[in-house]
Amino acid sequence: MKTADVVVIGAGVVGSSCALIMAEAGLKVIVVDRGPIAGGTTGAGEGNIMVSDKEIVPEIELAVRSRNAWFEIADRIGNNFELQAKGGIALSRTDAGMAGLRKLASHQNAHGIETIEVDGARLRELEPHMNPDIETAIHYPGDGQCQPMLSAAYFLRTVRHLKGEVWQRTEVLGFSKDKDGSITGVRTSKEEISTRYVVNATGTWAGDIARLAGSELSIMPRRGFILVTTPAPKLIHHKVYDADYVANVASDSPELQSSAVVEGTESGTILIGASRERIGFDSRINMAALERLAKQAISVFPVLSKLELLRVYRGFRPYSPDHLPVIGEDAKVKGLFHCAGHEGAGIGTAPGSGELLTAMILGKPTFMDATPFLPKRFQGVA
Amino acid sequence: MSRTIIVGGGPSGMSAAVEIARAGGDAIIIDSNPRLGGQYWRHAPVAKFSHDGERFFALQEEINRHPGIEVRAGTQVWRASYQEGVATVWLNDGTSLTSETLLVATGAYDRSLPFPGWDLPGSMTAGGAQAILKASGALLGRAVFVAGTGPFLLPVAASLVEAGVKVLGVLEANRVNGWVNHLGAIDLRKMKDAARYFKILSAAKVPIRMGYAIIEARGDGRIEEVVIAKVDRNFTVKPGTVEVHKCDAIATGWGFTPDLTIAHSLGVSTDVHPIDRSVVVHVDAFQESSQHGIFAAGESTGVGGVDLALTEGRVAGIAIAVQRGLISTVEAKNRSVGLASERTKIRKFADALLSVYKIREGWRSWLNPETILCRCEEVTFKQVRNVVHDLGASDVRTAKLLSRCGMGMCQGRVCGRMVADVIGAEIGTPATDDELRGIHNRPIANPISLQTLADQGQ
Ligand SMILES: Cc1cc2nc3c(=O)[nH]c(=O)nc-3n(C[C@H](O)[C@H](O)[C@H](O)COP(=O)(O)OP(=O)(O)OC[C@H]3O[C@@H](n4cnc5c(N)ncnc54)[C@H](O)[C@@H]3O)c2cc1C
Ligand SMILES: Cc1cc2nc3c(=O)[nH]c(=O)nc-3n(C[C@H](O)[C@H](O)[C@H](O)COP(=O)(O)OP(=O)(O)OC[C@H]3O[C@@H](n4cnc5c(N)ncnc54)[C@H](O)[C@@H]3O)c2cc1C
Repeated sequence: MKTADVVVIGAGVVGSSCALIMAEAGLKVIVVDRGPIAGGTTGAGEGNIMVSDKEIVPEIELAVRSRNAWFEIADRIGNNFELQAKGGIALSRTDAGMAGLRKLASHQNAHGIETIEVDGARLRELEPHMNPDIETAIHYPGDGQCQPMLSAAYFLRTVRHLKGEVWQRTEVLGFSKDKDGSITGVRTSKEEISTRYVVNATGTWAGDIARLAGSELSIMPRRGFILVTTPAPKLIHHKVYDADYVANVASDSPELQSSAVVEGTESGTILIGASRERIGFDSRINMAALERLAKQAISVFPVLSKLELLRVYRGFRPYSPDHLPVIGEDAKVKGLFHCAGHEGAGIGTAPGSGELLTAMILGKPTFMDATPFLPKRFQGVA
Repeated sequence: MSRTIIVGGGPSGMSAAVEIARAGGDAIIIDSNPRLGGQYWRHAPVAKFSHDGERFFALQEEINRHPGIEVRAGTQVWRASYQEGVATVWLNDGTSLTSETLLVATGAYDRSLPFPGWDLPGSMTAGGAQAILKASGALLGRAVFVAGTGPFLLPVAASLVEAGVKVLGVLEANRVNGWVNHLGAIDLRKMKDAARYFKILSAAKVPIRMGYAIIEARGDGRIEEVVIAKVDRNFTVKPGTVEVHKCDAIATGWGFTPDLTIAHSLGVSTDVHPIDRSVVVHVDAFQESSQHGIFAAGESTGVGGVDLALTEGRVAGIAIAVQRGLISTVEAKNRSVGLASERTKIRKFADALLSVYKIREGWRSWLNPETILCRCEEVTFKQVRNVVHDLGASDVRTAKLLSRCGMGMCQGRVCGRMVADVIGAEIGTPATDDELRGIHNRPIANPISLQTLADQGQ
């Protein structure tokens, strides 16, 4: 039988971040995924590493640490995943919207996020093609960007170099436990792995793994579309979004919401995201969502009217009932650690999540108070 | 019932429209080309054909005569969907259409194989060369090699000669004994065609070399010379047979890949062709797909040439007329006399050709690490190998997404199939049927202006 210190289930950005950080900490890691690497939500979204859209303090703390961790990882293993500190711009064209943005900015500022209010002239310097009717905005130099699939793939490559293993196309069939109910092994379609620690990083499917282990967890899908344009010379320099977006992220209503986040990529395409709908795993294209995104993006950058839509990405963000990720040990099954439910922020917050989880497994202090993320909040245990 | 939507105005779309019109029905033909005719009858604003023009003019005349048939040329379907028995297509002029009956007549595009230098200016597909010639005559006065495999190399070379292009040679990679006999064995028309092409080529002293291929093109900024070589039955270069020739341009053709983009969006069942593994629409005897009311004809059901496209188009048109209640099944039988056997006969012949002109695996040995596989995104063979062997990509989709191969403007139309084969070889297991189907998954069939998209909601 194979032995590992930790088995990570899920080869998305979250699982590969956990695996990387644990392997670097000297643990023998085996990553198991029933599909290919980054074949889940990680392969269907954008790569915004955002601090600017975070409102709740624990989220801010996780995002700020993660943002820095991204650049530290790039220093350690090489930046092969298009990581850039390009900065974000949040704008609103209404007084009420701007007032809201200012309030959020000062709150974020108090918790370590750099925010700069900019006027029209400065905005035009930052983004020459922005609609002239936009006269003020908040600039977030800390926002970054990466290519999520490449990130996961390079993290896992490093894991392999650190003597870890990545088992693709391997189904998790069940768990072995000792008489106290603690995890002792993972049964897979390949072979059984003896281990005391399991990380459930299966994103939208994390509830299934929890059930398989004899516990429960509610992680649900929230559909999103992203428009990808035909390649163009560099027109857009930051990730630019209007304030409605922040409102949408926090909202609880199921119907279609969207607010364009516009950004350029290294390959020259421009990404326009993202719509949000809670309608299960329905993969059909919603025309209304596409139309709305196009309209909103053009209203911020009129120059986009000249570009063409080339592709559409569709993905399902994993979300928990309170929209915070679930990071920590299961309240019922000892040795089972969840790291899932990162919703629309899983790329950005993956490294910090991995650090929290690694510290928890090693019994070391965490960089922040992780209580708000613990699974027990949904597991009927106080 | 609303009028039938016909996507594609090539031979199959045109002949289906004519049958629907004859039955008293209405239809709209949408084609991205500025004029009807498809691949086969692609032409300049004033149609002029060196041969086989009569059939085109007859179809066009009948289509124009029927007020029920609208032709919307120069218009692309950029998206299609099928829900609860109704098909919807979105057009790049910002409008959309719905109907209970739709014909997929989207044809095929050239299949390409890469080799060092295939991305240099001056390198074209066989179909592309013919299109350029017809549209602008831009190849006139140039010295060109025609290479690849398949029966269409001959007509392409012949039409280049006729237009005044100097054809330096036709290189057929497969060894085809008695080409003329083979082509003529079944179909008299084909025999006449082939004889005509040979006459044109031999009059112009164009050498036709069997078992030869272009394995490299070189030049400073554009093609100046090609490396050709004798290849064995598996397309591997025979040592000591390499020759270098000066030329201005090359036209290479490796058969066709049916364009299933629209079919895929409509959710029809597809088959993987047993001979060349191309993905084709699964149709019944009436050319109807697995989705009620969605029909397919021509190359989208399998590469078979113009006569098969015309026959299938007619069968589909008549079946659509029956489904719409325009004619009785008895009447349909009268109109279909001979069509089914004709279709079987040509299909058999087409399959025989596919077996003879197969792409053999040895072509991959022509690649070197720096050879570009994806021209849109400039992804090299080395980069694709790297995502498989270093990054652990273990399937076609992951290898594509990590390398960006096939992610550019053409959305993998040029390289998709070939890249799937390369990745399969690198991984060690050939692309699965579903992976081959995945190549045609383009929810956005063609790029659409963001402004047009935005305006659609108003
Ligand atoms: C349209 C869209 C845009 C987005 N934009 C951004 C953005 O800009 N910035 C950002 O930070 N986030 C963004 N996100 C969110 C982000 O993509 C996700 O939060 C993140 O990818 C989640 O990663 P994950 O590793 O948890 O899940 P996944 O990537 O889904 O990985 C889970 C893995 O688990 C595997 N798995 C599941 N069940 C099993 C099983 N039983 N056995 C074995 N393996 C299993 C799956 O195969 C999968 O590979 C976006 C999401 C969408 C949909
Ligand atoms: C260079 C060359 C030489 C050939 N020579 C011969 C020959 O000598 N003998 C022979 O039998 N066959 C020949 N063929 C093959 C012949 O052209 C095809 O068999 C025939 O054209 C197939 O007809 P079709 O109706 O299936 O498709 P096509 O003729 O390919 O027509 C399909 C049409 O659909 C349109 N279309 C596709 N998608 C969309 C969309 N999303 N929106 C709008 N429009 C769309 C395309 O623009 C195209 O006009 C040749 C082909 C080529 C390229």
